[in-house]
Amino acid sequence: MSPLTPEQLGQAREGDAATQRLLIRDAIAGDSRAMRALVELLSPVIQTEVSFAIRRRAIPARRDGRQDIADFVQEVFLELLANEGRTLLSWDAARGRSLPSFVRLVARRRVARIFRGHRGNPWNDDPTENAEFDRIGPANTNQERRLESRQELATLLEMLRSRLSDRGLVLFELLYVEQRAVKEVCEVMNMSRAAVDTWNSRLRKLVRSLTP
Amino acid sequence: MNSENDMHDEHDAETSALLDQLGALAREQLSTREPEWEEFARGELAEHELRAASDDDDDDFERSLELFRPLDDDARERMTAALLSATGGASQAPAPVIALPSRPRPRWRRVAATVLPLAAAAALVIWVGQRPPETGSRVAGLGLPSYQIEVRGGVQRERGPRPAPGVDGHRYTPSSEFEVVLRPATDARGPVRARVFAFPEALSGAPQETGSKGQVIPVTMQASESGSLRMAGPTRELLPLAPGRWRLVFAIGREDRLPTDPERVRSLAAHEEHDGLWIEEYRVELTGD
Repeated sequence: MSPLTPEQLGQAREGDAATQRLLIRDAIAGDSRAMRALVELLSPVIQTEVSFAIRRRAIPARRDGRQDIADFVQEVFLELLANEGRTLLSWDAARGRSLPSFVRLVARRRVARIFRGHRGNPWNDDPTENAEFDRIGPANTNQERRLESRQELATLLEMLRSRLSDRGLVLFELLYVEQRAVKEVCEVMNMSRAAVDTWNSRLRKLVRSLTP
Repeated sequence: MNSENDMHDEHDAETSALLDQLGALAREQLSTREPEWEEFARGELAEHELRAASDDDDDDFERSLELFRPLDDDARERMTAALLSATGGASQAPAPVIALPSRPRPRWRRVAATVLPLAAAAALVIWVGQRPPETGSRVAGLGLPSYQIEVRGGVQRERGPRPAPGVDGHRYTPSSEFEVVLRPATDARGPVRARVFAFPEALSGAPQETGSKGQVIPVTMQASESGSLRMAGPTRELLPLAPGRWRLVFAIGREDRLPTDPERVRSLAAHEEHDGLWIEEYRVELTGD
């Protein structure tokens, strides 16, 4: 492994996809300088997702979330780098997302999962959390009525994000958030129509399983 | 059977409607994020700029401020070490500080009308000065933060090995754009200035034996409120020096501490503090047109 030069590190920071991939590989291989540069490059992206998520909980509850920010950012990083960086290395600029955009998406899912974890997470005691979710809403009404509360819908969205795989989340974002045409999604993801349909079917099944 | 199909269709339609609702909510959540908080978290907006841009100045604002405040150098350094340890790379040498995109973007980067157009053919390179790991934040007793240097512009070498960091520097023609940014690790808390010196060197990088008198470069670096310093423009204007290799030394400090004698800074080690001055350096090779 030949360490990246300072010039390459600079290019990675400027958004050059090829050098960013080299940076990821070097960081995963244990190059401390590359890891530091990766932290510099991506921690603001991850922190933004973490901060917005914590603020949604902290401000109404009058909680102090400052101490948790760095821990959560690091936890997201660890998940991104797990299994020899499989998630980070699955990023492909040819699919139309910059590295920060890709990491933002993945971080959103990781953050949702962290907040719905069961490891003594103090942010996981929202009364609308998953265990309570089934009891929301009256019985014998259709899904839309059961989810007429925005809070419930927001909870479902977070649950969905926490349960989706990386690829599933990207497809959800492309199909339902960005509202791209299936044909375009096939091109962006380099997937066949049948494969996208299969993923979409899984997504629908998951949504149904998460609603009472 | 028809009844079962109808129920299935109805259920499917409900799922579609629900997914659409979820997508709409996700879009709404993103659209209602205040962009200034994102910029602050990314380090592109300084705290005072955020305060000026925000209508709120209450307790919630202060709480948000703490949540979105970019992680400082120490936190990033600890995170780097933890990640290296977790990925099996902890045996590596301590990480020098590299580019810090989280630094508040100085006002001149937000409003400056004199953005430097870089020729498409010219390479855009950044050189980031290395800094001892223990100097990540404020220099004890100085009231000055530590600094790092970023250099952009220059002409990419067409062949041959890449220059060693901080030894060969980069090559500039008189018409090359040259930009140097000196970034503080933390807010400088008060006016900071820099004086630039140039010392000729042999092509090997060694100081020249004869005629190697240093000189002050007559340039004023722009200063932001947070303490960032910047010089940018055509090389011929910023570095009115003879073709050859030069070591540029940047002495950073409060105005009354800045030296005027090049000999005072010639032998000061870079990336360190010396009696109220923070020293950075960068080597350039100047060519004719």
